[in-house]
Amino acid sequence: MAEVLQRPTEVDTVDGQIRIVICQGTGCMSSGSDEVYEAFREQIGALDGTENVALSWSEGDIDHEELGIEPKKSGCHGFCELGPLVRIDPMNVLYTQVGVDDVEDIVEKTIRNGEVIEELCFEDETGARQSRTDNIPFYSEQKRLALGNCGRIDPESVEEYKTTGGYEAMQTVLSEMDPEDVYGEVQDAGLRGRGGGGFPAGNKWMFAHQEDASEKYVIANCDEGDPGAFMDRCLVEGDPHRVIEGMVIAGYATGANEGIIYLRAEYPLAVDRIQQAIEDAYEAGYLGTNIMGTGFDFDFEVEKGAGAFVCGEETALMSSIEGGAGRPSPRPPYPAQSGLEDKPTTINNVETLANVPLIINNGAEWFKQYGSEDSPGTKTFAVSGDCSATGLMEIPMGLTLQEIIDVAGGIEGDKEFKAVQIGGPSGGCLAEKHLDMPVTFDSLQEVGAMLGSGGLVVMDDETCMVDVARFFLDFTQDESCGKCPPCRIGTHKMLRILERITDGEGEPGDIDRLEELGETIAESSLCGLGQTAPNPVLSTLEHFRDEYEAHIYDDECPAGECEIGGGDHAGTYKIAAQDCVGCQQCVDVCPVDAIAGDPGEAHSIDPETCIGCGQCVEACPTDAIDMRT
Amino acid sequence: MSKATQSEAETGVTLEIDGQEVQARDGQTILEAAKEADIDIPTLCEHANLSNVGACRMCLVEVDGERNETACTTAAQDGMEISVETDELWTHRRTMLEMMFADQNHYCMYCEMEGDCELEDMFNRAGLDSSRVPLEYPDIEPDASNEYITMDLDRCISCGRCVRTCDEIVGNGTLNFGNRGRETTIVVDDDVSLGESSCVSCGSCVQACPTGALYSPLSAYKGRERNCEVETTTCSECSVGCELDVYTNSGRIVKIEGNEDGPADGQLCEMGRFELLADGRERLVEPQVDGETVSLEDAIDRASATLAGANGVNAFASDRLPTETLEAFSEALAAYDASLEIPGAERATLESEVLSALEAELDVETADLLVDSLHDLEDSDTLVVYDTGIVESHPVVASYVRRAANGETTLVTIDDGEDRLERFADHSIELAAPAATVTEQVTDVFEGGTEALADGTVEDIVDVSLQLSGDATFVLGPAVEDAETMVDIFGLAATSDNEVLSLGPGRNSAVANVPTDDLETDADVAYLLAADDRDDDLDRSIELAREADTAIVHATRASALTEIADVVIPALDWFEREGTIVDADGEDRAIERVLDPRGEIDSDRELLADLQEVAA
Repeated sequence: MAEVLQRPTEVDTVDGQIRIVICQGTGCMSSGSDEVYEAFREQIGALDGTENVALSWSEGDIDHEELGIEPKKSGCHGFCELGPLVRIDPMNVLYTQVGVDDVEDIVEKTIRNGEVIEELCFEDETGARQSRTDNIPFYSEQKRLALGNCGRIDPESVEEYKTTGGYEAMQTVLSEMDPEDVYGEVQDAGLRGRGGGGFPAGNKWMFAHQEDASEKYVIANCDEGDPGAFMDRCLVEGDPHRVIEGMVIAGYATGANEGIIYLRAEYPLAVDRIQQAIEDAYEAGYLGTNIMGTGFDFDFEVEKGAGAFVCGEETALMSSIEGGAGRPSPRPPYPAQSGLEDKPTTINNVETLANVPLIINNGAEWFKQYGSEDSPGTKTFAVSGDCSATGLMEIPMGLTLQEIIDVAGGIEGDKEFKAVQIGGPSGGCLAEKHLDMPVTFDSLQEVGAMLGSGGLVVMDDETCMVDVARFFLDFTQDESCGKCPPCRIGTHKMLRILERITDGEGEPGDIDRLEELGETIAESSLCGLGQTAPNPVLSTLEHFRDEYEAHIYDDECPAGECEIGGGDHAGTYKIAAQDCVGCQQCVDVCPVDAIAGDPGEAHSIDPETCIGCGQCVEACPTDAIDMRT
Repeated sequence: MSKATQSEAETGVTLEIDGQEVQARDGQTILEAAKEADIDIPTLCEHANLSNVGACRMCLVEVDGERNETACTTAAQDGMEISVETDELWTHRRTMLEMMFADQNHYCMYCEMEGDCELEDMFNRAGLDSSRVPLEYPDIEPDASNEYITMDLDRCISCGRCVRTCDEIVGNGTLNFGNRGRETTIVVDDDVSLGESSCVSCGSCVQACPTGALYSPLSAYKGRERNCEVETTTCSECSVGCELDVYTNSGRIVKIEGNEDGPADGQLCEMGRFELLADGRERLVEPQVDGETVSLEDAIDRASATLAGANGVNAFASDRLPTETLEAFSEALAAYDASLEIPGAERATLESEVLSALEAELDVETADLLVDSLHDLEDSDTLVVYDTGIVESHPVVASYVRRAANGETTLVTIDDGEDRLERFADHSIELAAPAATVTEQVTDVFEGGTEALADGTVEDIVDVSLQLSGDATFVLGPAVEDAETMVDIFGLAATSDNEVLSLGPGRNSAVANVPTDDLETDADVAYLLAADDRDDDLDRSIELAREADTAIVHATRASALTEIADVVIPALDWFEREGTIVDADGEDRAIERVLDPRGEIDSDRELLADLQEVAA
């Protein structure tokens, strides 16, 4: 018997509208949510003006236009694993993996008759179907503060934002607080930069405030570049007014009257949403001159970036806004002293800004009840990889790695946990021994990783760690701006070495080379991109060195992921260096002089010369020689 | 001015570099302080005349034992303890050099720069003789499309000196970085070849390049810089007076570079850096009469006899010559009642007359009216350039104009033909004649904008430029010839407390003091001190030789002129001369002998004195 929905009360709904919210986040889009959206439009359009909609839960027929049934695009809901997601409000129903074929059914059953379609609901561990997000662990274990409105309110409506307390913090700040109080409150809350660095946001604002300048800037950094990270995009697409409100507050606290959001042009929906929101905010008097009659002026504009990872770096970002190439420059001077057009500039990540109105409304103490002592509040994570519930989640800081993985549904199937890569390409790999470690800004730095923007790739025991390092390095060397040699050349050389290792062509000494190159790149690069680029290699070398050795010395990928084989050299022989005693007996018997090596040193066989006769195998006293397959 | 990026360096700071106490001035970088204390911090991308970018990472030093910073971008601060020569830092430097070595074609033995290469020096200093990282370079075809500059990007370490030079010194912006990551490369304009580009062939990038990525085929494989002798002299190709560092080896000129402490920050132009080297014509060493080689005495006798018996002598001397030679020429030829012509004399004389008149009329010091240093152009709020022909005639000045326009300065250009600075100008005005005189009609053109100026007058334009902003500098190109324009411009400058840079067609501004005349129409003898016998000098000499029955020629090279001459007497080439030249600012500059003369002639002046003596 289908669950019958109750008519929503006035409290549940903003304006009495029924809303079909179709996620247009990256994950859902990739599984066809744009087509689902079109299908809904078609279905709803078919109702258009022709008939009134009989809703079994309603008191009589209601004109659908009066009800305002309208499919809406939203930013990411987070639960990407089961996309496309369709949320129907105010009934609070979440349908998962909705296909175009399901749309007619949803309109007929759920919209018209108030029935829940069980097959489209989340199936929990017990096999029960859950229609409400409160009953889905992925959501119920989260603490959605920054993302609180995402997927819930209409991002294109100022009015809806206001019903959630929107722009109240701004009013409080502008009419009742001094700038010192504002950044003081943010300092008290211990809000740290969510873009990766974890620098205290309140301090940043204080430094900018202390600069004596007639013109200052604040910039919202939405140049989200980590592969698989999309929390900022989700915020801008799902709750753009929150970002605007955070920016006005930042402007007031630092003494800036101009704000810019630097946004990737590859996020067209985010660009549209923020542009619309800025327009509406101007209209409503939340931007422009004399905001809400307080005498504070603030202008806000959108700057589209061309999607370079390095442009997330503050100095490169500013250079890009100024029309220059996205190339970083040395600090000092810090942006707070001399930034955009040499004016004091404050750059905050979008997620950091989204937390600000909450802190102002609820106070520093309220904020600090979440998270850990050194890292208060929540953090969004983009969890991908071998978990059963991958997606975007917001959880209190300080959960252990294991707890985070549990929220994401644990390791998929019956495989074992092996590692996580945290912090995107700049972060590091953590192993099993870190599972009980609370995840905070500082704890991660202690173990050679970093929180970054919150990308988290979970890997099971069938993952080759050398290949993981290669993947991330391939990304960073491609994204290097090319200004300084350690990053421009060093990352490429490391990649080449990793490639030959995963191809089974690794050489003795490659591990040392990787470590030397990695250390020099980390210590000598100009900006954060280069300084952190070797992290994936250095951390996998630390925790999974044996895998590198197996590739190099045994021509074997323990996880079975790399296609190591003889390739063109199948049928020739190779010497396992760690077993070779350097006795020269193979050298003596080889009829084609393919084997080289000084006495006492590990020998090697040149596969180009080797004819595969096998005489060396016979001669070897330590069984160090094997055929390449 | 210091290039420290940190603004709050204290005045008179004391720091310690590798245990040595070092004094630094307010705002100096660690690198600048170290240089003055003779401490050699390794660098590759740093260059004294360019901004610091911290790109090559060679100058990373340890600060206070806790962090590494680039010495070129970090301000020296009181009490800093700096370490340069630590094992750890050298390990990183060596590893980075290994990376660079393995990523490009740095096979030194095939490279023109071998022995003079800063990268090679750094390899040696780091003790690097091989690389342990995979060797792989893109194998880019060298760009030899420019006659004077070859670009071999396989040897480029992307230090960006050339890009910064082209932008900050030359102001032309031809060279840029393209692509990113390992694909990073130097791109010429919108990725065209150097030969097809906006490059002005000044070669400043060649001088700045630390490796063999940019070199001149004129100098390639002629010898190492470190085995050369260097003589600093003054260029006489225009009136700017750039200082040339001429590198010679075994009596041969290897290359010419701009003196980096000179008035133009090491900048030269195509004429001074390359064309002086590129003259491949046969050198004249023997005197000739009627095509036959004769002794010098015979040649002088014949010349003086011809001059003495002439019904009129038209004499011409190139103003590339030193002041002393021109004076000797004037005196010697006066002894034969010759009429004298020296290029540029007319304009220079006119200018000096105008200035004297103004001095009396307006009670101003003419020295206050003239621009003292090319750097003043950059400090002007407005630059008004009359005649953009300076791009060809005075290329180094054009660089300063572009630099100013790229900065805060408003550039107004006025030309009767093609505006060669249009790309940089805020207001480009085409006038029927650049030397249009002031009319009584003063229209309020400012409201109408620059379009209204199309038919405007000089005064209108000046009016506009002065309204645009405060400090203005007027640059007069060689095409400005009439007294009225000159009076107007100098007068305006005098009354508005502004300055003028006057760039006449002449090279040696001393010609203003050498008496000249209009040439005679029926003279039967031409006496031609053609000096370098190139370009306009050669053209005018040939013209005069053809008009005369007998032509006496002083020449350095075989040319069409020597072919039609009756008497040919060898003259000193530019690098053999000695004396002084007066530049556009009115300063005396020394011309030094770079190489000993090839032929019998040791001094043009003595020869002219001999001639004078014979006449007497």
